[in-house]
Amino acid sequence: MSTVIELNHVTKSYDRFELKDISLPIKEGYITGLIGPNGAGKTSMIKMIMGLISQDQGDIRVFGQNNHHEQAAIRGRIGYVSDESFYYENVTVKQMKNIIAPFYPGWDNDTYLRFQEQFKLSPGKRIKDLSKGMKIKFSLAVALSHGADLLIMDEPTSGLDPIFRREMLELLSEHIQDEKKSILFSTHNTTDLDRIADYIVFINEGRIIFNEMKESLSERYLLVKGGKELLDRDVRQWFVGLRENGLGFEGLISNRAEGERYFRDTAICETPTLEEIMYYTVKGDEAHA
Amino acid sequence: MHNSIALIRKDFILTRKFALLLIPYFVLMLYSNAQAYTVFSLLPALLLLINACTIDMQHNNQKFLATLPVPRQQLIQAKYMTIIPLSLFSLICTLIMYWIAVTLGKLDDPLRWRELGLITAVIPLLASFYLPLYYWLGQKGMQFVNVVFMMVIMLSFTTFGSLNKEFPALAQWVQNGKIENMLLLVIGVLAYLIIIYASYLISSRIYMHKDI
Amino acid sequence: MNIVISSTSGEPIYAQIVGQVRQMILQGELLSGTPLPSIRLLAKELQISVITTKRAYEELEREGLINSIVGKGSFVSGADQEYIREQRLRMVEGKLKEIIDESRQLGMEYAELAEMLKLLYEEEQE
Repeated sequence: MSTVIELNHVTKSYDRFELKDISLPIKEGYITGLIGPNGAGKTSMIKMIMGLISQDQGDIRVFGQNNHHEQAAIRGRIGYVSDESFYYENVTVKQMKNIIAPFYPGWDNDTYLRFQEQFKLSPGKRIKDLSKGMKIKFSLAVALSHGADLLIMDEPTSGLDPIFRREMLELLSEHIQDEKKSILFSTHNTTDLDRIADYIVFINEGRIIFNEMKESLSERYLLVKGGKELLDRDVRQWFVGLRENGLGFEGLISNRAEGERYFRDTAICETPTLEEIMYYTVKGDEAHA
Repeated sequence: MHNSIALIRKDFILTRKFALLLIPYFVLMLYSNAQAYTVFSLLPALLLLINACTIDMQHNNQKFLATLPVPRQQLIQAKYMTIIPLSLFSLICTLIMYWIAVTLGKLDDPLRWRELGLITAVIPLLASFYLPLYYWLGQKGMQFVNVVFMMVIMLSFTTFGSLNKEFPALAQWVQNGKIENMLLLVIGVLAYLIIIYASYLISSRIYMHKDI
Repeated sequence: MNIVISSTSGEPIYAQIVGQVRQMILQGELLSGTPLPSIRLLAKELQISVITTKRAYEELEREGLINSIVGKGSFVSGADQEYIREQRLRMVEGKLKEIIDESRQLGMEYAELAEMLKLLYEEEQE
């Protein structure tokens, strides 16, 4: 299976934060979700892929090309959506579209007009008068109108109401009907990804915790809920993260088979959601630190 | 090339509104000091350039530019190239003003085209000092750069008054078109071009790997 | 054809798809040669991951219920009901063998195992 994005031993240091030796393949033809708490390094990673910031070490390849030498060609094939609007505030939606269109050889104005209609974007409205959700919709309309092979979205759903969130997820499935097209999607709202994501990359404090098929996560992790008497020092070691209160405990185990064997008869065993995996992993990291 | 044109076009779309403010400027100048029409062309071009640069730097607009399918080198190139149409725009505005002034009877001497040409040629030179500072200081330092630069423009207004004393050869050419020292002219033109090119290289160096 | 997915039932989504398609084939609702929606289309319609539907189709293929032809898509296989039943019987046999192995390791007698099977079978029927 070919990869659309490849990071090799990428390192980037800031004053108080560091992305450490990140190596990561993102598969072509699928939706990959990038999850992690705020400040985990999701945006920095995406900015490096887009060539907005340069890595200190390592190399990044997109569509098999080095992202520094071929930056223009690569970005021509990417549709980029960010949670913060980066358009000119004082121009109208239509003027902004007219500024953008000439840069993309594959620009399809009919497609754009279709999305403009579907998203109820008024062409005469100024960008600064659009709500956050509307700005993201505009950005999405632009990204989908130039035949991009790769959509890179940084927290795209953060300003959206649940109804449009669903609509957007449907657009994303529509986009990858062509198996040459891929999506990288960062979010801290994991319910967006619970359904449609094929791969999940989880980062925390600048490190990759895992990069796996979402399908296999449910076979690997187990959420256990039970009474505190079940916990002793050895048993505690099995948990990635554990939350205890007066009435019992709830915790995440990363070896599902073993966990089930031990707790099957004495506790409640469930398949964790992505949010639960994220929560307990971050919690566990903090406890060990 | 196609991208550069699209970028320059973008600057014109963005500064369109601002350009309208220049009409009162010209009217004011026409009534207060029509004789000095040659120096008027300096301000509009530079103001438009500063305006376009400021808009590019505000909000997250740098991010917009840097995510376009255009190499960063080309972003800088286009900014430097924008100076040419802006200078021409300024020149045309000044010529129109001159014509109006003559029609109204406020001016009756022939067009001082050498002086006008020389002052227009100063626009790219001043821009060459502005742009590297702009790329270097970015959003945070931009207010400061703009203020300092406006002062430089004002200063260059007065410098033309003392042109006679500082550069007698140049002043003579402006007066009667006579070139006495060819070597000096060649050196002058070369220095002019080198300054602009050096400015471009410095801007590129600053901006090529900047984190946005 | 109808496929209904529940994300709260606890049963993996791919298994729900396999179960429902299998049911439709065995009941003759889907006839041999009927084209199935493509992997990507099914994922879009159900708003689930492509890998999940892919896995479901692979499973159905392994059971001999569908055939996938590269570039053309997936079709209900030409196998008749008899063949399909046989396939599934063979699957049951395989699983029983695993159970026999496991019980031998525990030192269980045949009678003990048969008794256990009988009890469980009756329990399920209730």
